[in-house]
Amino acid sequence: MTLQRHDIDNDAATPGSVFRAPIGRRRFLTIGGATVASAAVLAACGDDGESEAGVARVGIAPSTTALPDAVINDVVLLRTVSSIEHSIVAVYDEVIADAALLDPFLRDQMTRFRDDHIAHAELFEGLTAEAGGEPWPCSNARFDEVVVTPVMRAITGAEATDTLAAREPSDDPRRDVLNFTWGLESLAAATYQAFVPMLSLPALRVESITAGAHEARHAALLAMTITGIPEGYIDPSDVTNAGEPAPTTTSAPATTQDIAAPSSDAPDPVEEGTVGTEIPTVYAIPSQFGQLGAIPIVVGAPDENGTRLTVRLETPSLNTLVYEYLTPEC
Amino acid sequence: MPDHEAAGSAPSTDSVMRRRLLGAGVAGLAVSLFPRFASRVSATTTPEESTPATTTTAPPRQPTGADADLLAFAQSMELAIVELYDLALGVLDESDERSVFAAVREAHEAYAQSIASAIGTGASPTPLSELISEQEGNFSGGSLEELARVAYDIEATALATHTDVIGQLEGTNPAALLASIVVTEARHCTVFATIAGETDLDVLLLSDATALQPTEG
Repeated sequence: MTLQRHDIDNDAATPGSVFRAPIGRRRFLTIGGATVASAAVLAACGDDGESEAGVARVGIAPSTTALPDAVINDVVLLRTVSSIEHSIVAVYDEVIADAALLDPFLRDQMTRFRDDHIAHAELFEGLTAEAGGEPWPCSNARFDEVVVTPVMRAITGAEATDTLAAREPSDDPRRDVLNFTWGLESLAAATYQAFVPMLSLPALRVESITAGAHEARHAALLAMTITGIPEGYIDPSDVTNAGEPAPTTTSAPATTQDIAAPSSDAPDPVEEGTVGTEIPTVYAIPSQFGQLGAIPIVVGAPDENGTRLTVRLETPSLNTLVYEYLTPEC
Repeated sequence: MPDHEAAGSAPSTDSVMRRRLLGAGVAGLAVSLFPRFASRVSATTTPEESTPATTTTAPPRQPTGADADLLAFAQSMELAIVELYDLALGVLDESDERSVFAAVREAHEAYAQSIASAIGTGASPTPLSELISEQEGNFSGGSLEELARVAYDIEATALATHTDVIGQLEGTNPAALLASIVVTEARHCTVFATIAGETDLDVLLLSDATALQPTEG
């Protein structure tokens, strides 16, 4: 069939042939070339802006200001840890001053923790300046908004606002404060650990992990205070993995997590048989390696279903970093 | 076949027309694309506002050759600590505190293994003999509190050593690994201080141990 078509095409070139084709090869090329040229001219004359704007509409478009470029560098990371430290200091300031929130027996320890955080904040502010950035002497607004404020409202109770519902005070504020500060210390340790490979200079990595180790020891001490000893030493699964018998459970200390036990004054709103939110048991050594996953904390009074506020603390991400274009206002 | 013949002879009117049209098409295409390229260029460079770009070199992720030597030293220290805990476990009676010693021993073994995997095939596991000979007497006997105190010291030493190594590593992956170890060894310190009966916050929260240094050769 192909051979036959070639024969016909050759014949078509012959004047007077009865097999004349409607469009010859050369004529086809001529038309094709003209089409390409036309398309090119039209494309050159067209305006990209008009074609991308879509159909014209009546109205005045508001002017918008784009955010500056968000570059994550050493200065941003150093400012971020400073901000987290200031947020934690603010929490300690609030609970240390209120005997309803903190057992006076723990006041010295918590004051020491707060002072350590102030020292860390000052350290990283100095390192920020050395790195050529503007130190960040304020708390972290995003962290305060999504973590600190809701948790403290759940602990102390609060009236409704435009955006937040009213909260009843916790059935055990002291227990919740210890859990929250444990979570904050664990988060601080995880943050410093997470920033080690992100910092460009080895000297800054040393500063970061040194502070992280310090926060981890705060968390360990709080875990033993909360869970008691020896139960709070280490996660039992790590003990059984080591081929040892699981730790014995002695009489529970006053601060042991036990949501089944009614608190001293407040009536227990959980009806018998209702399963409430379990408050995680915390350990001084929760795992073999430092973890970077979310840290769950459970606080506040249970609702009619026994559900308490659960907040998962996560190391700072893109929406929590203190970028260089941000100006401290505190 | 007819095209070849035509190429050998004088160009016909059709062939000249075809070449002109093709040439015009290519030129038109070039003209049509020029505004696009020009707009891209203008979007990426603003000479009035631009500042000289900072030259940055991202640190390597994988361990360098020098890193491997540092990691091998850290690994040998971890293996020595495992042997020291084996000595302590041989003299400790069964108790909750003994379980802590056992679990911490397992953790150090895991550290040695993970560091070996970070080094790669060149890793040759050999416990740091100097550390063993220096500490084996402390771990071979004594009360629970005394053993907890020497365990605190060895944890503080490991913490200081890994922190020192982090300050020398170039690769970010091994630095991240050691950071995850340091954070947990810090917790070990606080727990062993508690088992030893310490209540001083300076002891529970801080340690002033000196980092071990690899010997020459």
